[in-house]
Parts: sequence; structure tokens; C-alpha cells
Amino acid sequence: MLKSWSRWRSSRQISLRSAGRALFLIALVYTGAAAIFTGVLLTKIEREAKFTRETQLPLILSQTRNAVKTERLASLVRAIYLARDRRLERQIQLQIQALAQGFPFDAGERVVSGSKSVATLAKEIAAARQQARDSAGQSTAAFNFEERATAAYSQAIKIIDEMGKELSGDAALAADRLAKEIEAGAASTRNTVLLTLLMPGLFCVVLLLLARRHLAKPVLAAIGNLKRISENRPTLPVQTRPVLAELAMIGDAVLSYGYTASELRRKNVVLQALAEEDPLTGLANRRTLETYLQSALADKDKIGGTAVLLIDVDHFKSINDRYGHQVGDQCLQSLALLLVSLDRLPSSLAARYGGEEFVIVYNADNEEQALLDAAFVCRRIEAMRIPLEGEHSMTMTASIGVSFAPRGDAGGMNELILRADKALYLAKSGGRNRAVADHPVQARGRFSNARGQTAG
Amino acid sequence: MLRRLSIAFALTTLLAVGAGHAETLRIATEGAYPPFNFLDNGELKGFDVDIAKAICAKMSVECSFQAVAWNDIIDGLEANKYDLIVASMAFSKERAARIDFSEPYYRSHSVLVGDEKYQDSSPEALAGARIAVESGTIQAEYLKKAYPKSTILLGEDQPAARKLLIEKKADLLIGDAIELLTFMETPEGSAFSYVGDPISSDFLQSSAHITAHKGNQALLARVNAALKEIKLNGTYDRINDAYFPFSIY
Repeated sequence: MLKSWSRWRSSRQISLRSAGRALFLIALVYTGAAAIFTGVLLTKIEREAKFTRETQLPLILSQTRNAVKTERLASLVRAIYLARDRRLERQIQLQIQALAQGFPFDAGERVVSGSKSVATLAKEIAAARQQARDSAGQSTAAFNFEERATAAYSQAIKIIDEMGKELSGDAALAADRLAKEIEAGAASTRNTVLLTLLMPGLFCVVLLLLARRHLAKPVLAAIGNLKRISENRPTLPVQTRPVLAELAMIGDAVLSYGYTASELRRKNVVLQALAEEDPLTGLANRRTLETYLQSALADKDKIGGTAVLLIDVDHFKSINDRYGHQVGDQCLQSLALLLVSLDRLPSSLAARYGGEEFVIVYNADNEEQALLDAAFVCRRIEAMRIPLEGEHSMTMTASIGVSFAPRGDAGGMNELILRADKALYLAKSGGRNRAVADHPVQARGRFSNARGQTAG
Repeated sequence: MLRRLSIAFALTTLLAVGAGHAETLRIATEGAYPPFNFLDNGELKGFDVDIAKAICAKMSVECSFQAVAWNDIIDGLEANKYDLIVASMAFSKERAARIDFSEPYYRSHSVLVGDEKYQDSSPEALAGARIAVESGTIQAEYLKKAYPKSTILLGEDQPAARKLLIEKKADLLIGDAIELLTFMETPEGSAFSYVGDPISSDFLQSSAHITAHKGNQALLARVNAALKEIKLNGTYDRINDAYFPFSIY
């Protein structure tokens, strides 16, 4: 028992199911115990009531009866003293005797002996009266007998008084004892009933506190963590492990869900980067470029328009053939680095369009400006030194096709790229290492129906 | 209409059956034990009779009374000639073997009465004395056992035993204190008084009971309930005061 307790203490886990069972068992045991206890208590009260009815009440009644008898005795003694008639005196004296003989049934010893003395004194009164009558004429003797009768009478009355006190005292004592017993019984019943009623109340309070600590707290903690996970904040570790196994499991599940979610999010970022970037150069890929270009064309608030520079490395195949693919890749990476570091082109996006083709999309004021920018890029590429193994380095050139769509142009993305591609073709055929613009047929100004060309 | 008639008929039948069931209790008493029970111009009277009537009224039953000689009274009950005996019958084991007893309805004790020259009621003091007693009573049984040196004279009923004392054929008479008190207040009894202390013995400690057939506890339970009620509602005390100067309960 102790061992299992300490084991429980160390693990501090209990399943919701066994907690429910324990609760049910406690309720069952308590109800049973309360029922038995109440039964015992009520039986006890019943027994006490029966005892009172069968023992205490008859006792009090017999005391009352004796008190009435004593009163009767007193009135008979008074009657015999006042009688002054032989026949009447005898009759009363016999009645006193018979009445006195009745006391031993249910009176105390002192009352019985008192009643006996009273009977003897009554006899004495009757005898003295008779002697007084017999000595009629001799006034002294008659007076003496009369004195004796009076003395016996007052003594009898005194004894009866004491009997009365004794009896009323006994009755009062018995009544008092009875009242006290009933009072004590009622008090103990009240306490027991109060206790029986209070216990479940207390139990409920304890249960509520336990529920708050072991049910609500872990649940709230789990909810808090779920919220944190949804807001992409780190989860809080559980301070105290929930005692209820199921809740502990839920808490653990939330934490592991949080870990999974953040892991997933991290992987998503990587995947997104993979989807948007070109793996070799780190530039945006063609898809990203198209999205960007589309949104650039859709922007109706911009000043000027959208320029597209389509850049193609000149004689890339021969670089590959001569220096190997590694150097070829190095060239592409160097070019990419250069393209992203161009800070004179506003809102630009550099992207690898495919193979040795790159694109820059940016906001330009007009086609002339775009053509000037492209020429600038040509010069920068030409000036770039690409280090090779040892002391050697190499240079390269690129041709650039330029197309421009003013704000609100209805041509669309594909047409714009197609135009840039045509311009690039012209740049290539025009001798490479140059920028050529292909403006639309309806374009205005001095470039109308003409191809702008700038040698690098 | 037919339906209503049939209900009326059923009711009438029920009432008739109910009336037919009005219970009549047959009660026996001795009729020779004044003032408890005695014949006055052929009519039974006395404390026992009045108590019996009060109980019958409380139980809401009709009662018929008959006087039966003391020595035959238990036989008659066993022969089912009556349902109850209300005749100041004291409890004794011998009787309890044949009949069942109610709660006591009064208590008394046995005393000796006789000439004033007797002051002591002990068997030694009364050696050689002639003591009259009613036969078939617990006092007669007791005298035979406890007073072997005295002469026991049996009277067939209480008046016969009294007659033995009055006619000086006996020196002393044993009986119930209350009953003898009434006797001593009559002219015939005026020459006698109580002799010594009441005779105290567990054997004689007497309480008077109503008795019924062996096993008729149901009837006795009703009698006991009625007895309790007349004691509580004052009927008992009124009857008591009509016969005795103090309560004999």
C-alpha cells in the first residue's frame, strides 16, 4: 500500500477513468455510511423514546400518584383531627391505614416509613380522643388527652409535608433528568445531521478545487499553447505535469503538435524559397519573374512604365567548352551577383530566365531611359573580372534586348517578353555586346517606326 | 336507474351485514365480592362492573354480564361460556397457565382483620388462632403455606368467610385491604380493625387483572388500550371515587 502510494507520488498520474471510479466509490461508501449511521441514530432515538415511555413516564406518573395520595393522606389526617365522633374517627382511621398500606407499591423508603408513622399517629389521635371522651368531666385529664391528639396531629402534618417535599423533589428530578436526556439526544441528533449534510458540501468544494487545479488548469494551458502555435509563437513548457493521465496526454500532444507545426513552417519557408529561386544563382526563377512582371504591369499608379531587359551571355557555349562547366557556372553566378547589386534601377527584380539568359524587370520613365540603362549594364558586364584558378582571370560580354510598356499598356506580359526577345535577337545579329530596344509600332516620338540601338 | 338501484341495494346489504357484526362481549364476574362486584336486587354492581362497562363503551361493543361462582369462574371461561372475567382476579402462575391476563386495573394487598387485641400479623404471633379465608383465593393458598400453626377456615365466598368472623367462629379474617375497609365500615364489621402490617410477600403482592381465553391476545390488547384511555380521560377516577376514599390504581 505504502509502496504503491510512493510510486504514485513519484509518477503522480491517475487516469480520468480511475479518478471517476474513485469518486463514484467515495460517493457510494459515503452514502452507505450515512445511511447506516442515520439508521443507527434513528434506532437509538426510537429506543430512547421507548425507554422514556416505558420507564421514565411511568416513574413520573407514579410520583404524581404518590403526591396525590399524600395530599389525600393530609386531608384525612385533618378530617380525623376535626371529627370528634367515635364512629367517624374509626372510619377515617381505617381509611388512613388502608391508604398508608398502599404506598409500598411504588414509593421510596422514606415516603413509605412516613406513611406508616402517619397511620400510627392517626391511630393515636383516635385513641386520645376516645380517652378524652371517656374521662369526660375531669377537665385536666381531658385537656391532657386533647394535647396529645394535637401533638400527634401536628407531627403527622409535619411528616406529610416532608413526604410531599420528597415526592415533588423526586418528580422534579425525574422530569429534569428526562428533559436533559431529551435535550442531549436532540443536540446529538442535530450535530449528526449537520455533519452528515456538511460532509458532501465540503467534499464538493474540495472536488471543485481539485477540478480547477487538475482539470481546468491543464486544459487552459493546452488551449494557450494551441493559440501560441497558431500565432507562430513558441509553446510554453508544462510547469507541473497534470495528475490526470488523459490531460497529460493532451498536453503532450499539443506540445508535439506545436513542434511539428514549427518544423512544417520551417520546411515551408525552404520549399517556398526553392519554388521562387534559381538554385545556382540565388536569383528569382522564371515563375517568380512572371508573377512580378504581371503585378508590375497591373500597377496603374506608377510613373512611366515597366522596362524588361533580356540579357544573354555572349558565346557562353565556348566558355563552357574552353574552361569547363564549373567556370561556366561561376560566370553565371558572378553575373547574377552583378545584376542584383545594380542600384540605379528602381523596383528592379533580377531573374534567371533559363540557361545563360537573365532578365531584369524595373520601373523606367520611358524607352530611351531603358535603353540607356541597358547600355550601362552592358558596360558593367564587360568590365567585370571573373577570377580563375591561379593568377588568371577572364572577362565576358552579354547582349541585351530591351522592351518597354508604358503605364496602362494593354499588350500584356507575353508580348513584352516577346519584344525583348526580338530586340535581343537584333542585338546578337548586330554584333553582340550591345543593347537594342524594340519599341511597339504605335509608339510615339522619334523612335516611331525605328529601332533604337546603342553600341556598348 | 337500474344501476342506482343496485348500488342502493349493495349499500343496504353492507349496512345490514355491518349491523349484524355488532360485537357482544360476554363478561363474567363473581357478584359476591363487595364493593368490587356484588348483586343488588338481582343486578350486578360494583367497581369491577363499572370498569367493565366503561371499557366496553370505549371499545364500542355491547356487553352482557353474568355472575359465576368464584370456584367455577376459570372453568367457565375455558368452556367458552364468556369472553372475559372482570372479577378482581389477582395474577398467579397457576392461573396464567390456563388463562391470559390484561394489564392490572388496580392494585391492593392482603391484610388480616380481627379484634383489636391482635397487634401482630406474623405467623408466630398467630399460632393457634383461627383464620377465615375465601377458598380458591391466593390468600387461602398463602395461609396454608405460611401459617401452618394456625387453623384455616374456608368460606366458599367472601361473605361466607366474613360470616365466620362475625359469628366468632374465626378470630381473624384475611382479605384484600380495600375490600375489608368497606367491610369494617359496615355495622357487622365495626368490631374489627386491621391487624399489624399488611402481609408482604411476592406471592401475595396482588394486582387485579381482566382475564381472557388463553391465546386471545387480540382481545386483551383492545382491553389494555381501553383501560389506558379510561385511566387517562378521568372515567376510571370517577368510578374509583364512587367506591373508595382514595385512588386504588
